[in-house]
Amino acid sequence: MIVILTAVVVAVPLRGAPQTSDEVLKSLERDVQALKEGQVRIQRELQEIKTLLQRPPQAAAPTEPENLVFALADFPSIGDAKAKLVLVDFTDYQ
Amino acid sequence: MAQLESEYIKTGKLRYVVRDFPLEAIHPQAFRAAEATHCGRDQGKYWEMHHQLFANQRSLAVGDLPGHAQAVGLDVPAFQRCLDSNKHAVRVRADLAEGQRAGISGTPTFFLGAIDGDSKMKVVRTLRGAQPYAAFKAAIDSVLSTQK
Repeated sequence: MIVILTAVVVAVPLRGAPQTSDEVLKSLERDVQALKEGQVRIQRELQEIKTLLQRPPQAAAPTEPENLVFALADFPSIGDAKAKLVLVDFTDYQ
Repeated sequence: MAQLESEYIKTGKLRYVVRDFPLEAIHPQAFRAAEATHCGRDQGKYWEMHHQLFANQRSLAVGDLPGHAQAVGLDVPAFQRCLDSNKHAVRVRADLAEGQRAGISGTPTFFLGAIDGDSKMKVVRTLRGAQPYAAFKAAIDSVLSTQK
């Protein structure tokens, strides 16, 4: 009876120890995986924020202003007044 | 400019318009110089004055301007009265405001546009800074080819 009990008591930790460390490992792996996924998500969100932050200056200083129309009033010009193309030169003398 | 003139302006394909964009913050004499060209225009000598001031970019102090007026054959006292009156300041400021609205940050800035309705043009290309003739030619030709 004592022998059996001892056997059980000894056997449980002996059998349980590898199981536990295996579970810990698996749990750690799961945690690491979750952290990795979280990091990827954070990076993605950071990128989205960066993109949002970069957009306003681009809109404020367009290289090709859209729908930019100039009135052609009484400005100094040379060439045919009926020419279909106009080159407007914004100039500075100094 | 000479090539642009012979190839596109004199052939009736292109009209060349000058607007003023005096960068006052870095060029304190530029605003009065711009006014001076319009005083020249009052006497029918805008382009003469325009070229004269461009050729003398280092002597554009207010005191130098009458000398330039004289060099291009303007009536100097009338020119001086015009300059002193600041009558063309409104026009120069309006050009500046329109240039700023168009997003100009430096000069020269060129806008190539197609005539759109009555005395209006729609900008189709922007050329920033001094550019070689080839850059203008490429831009103009590409727009002309889409118009045919």
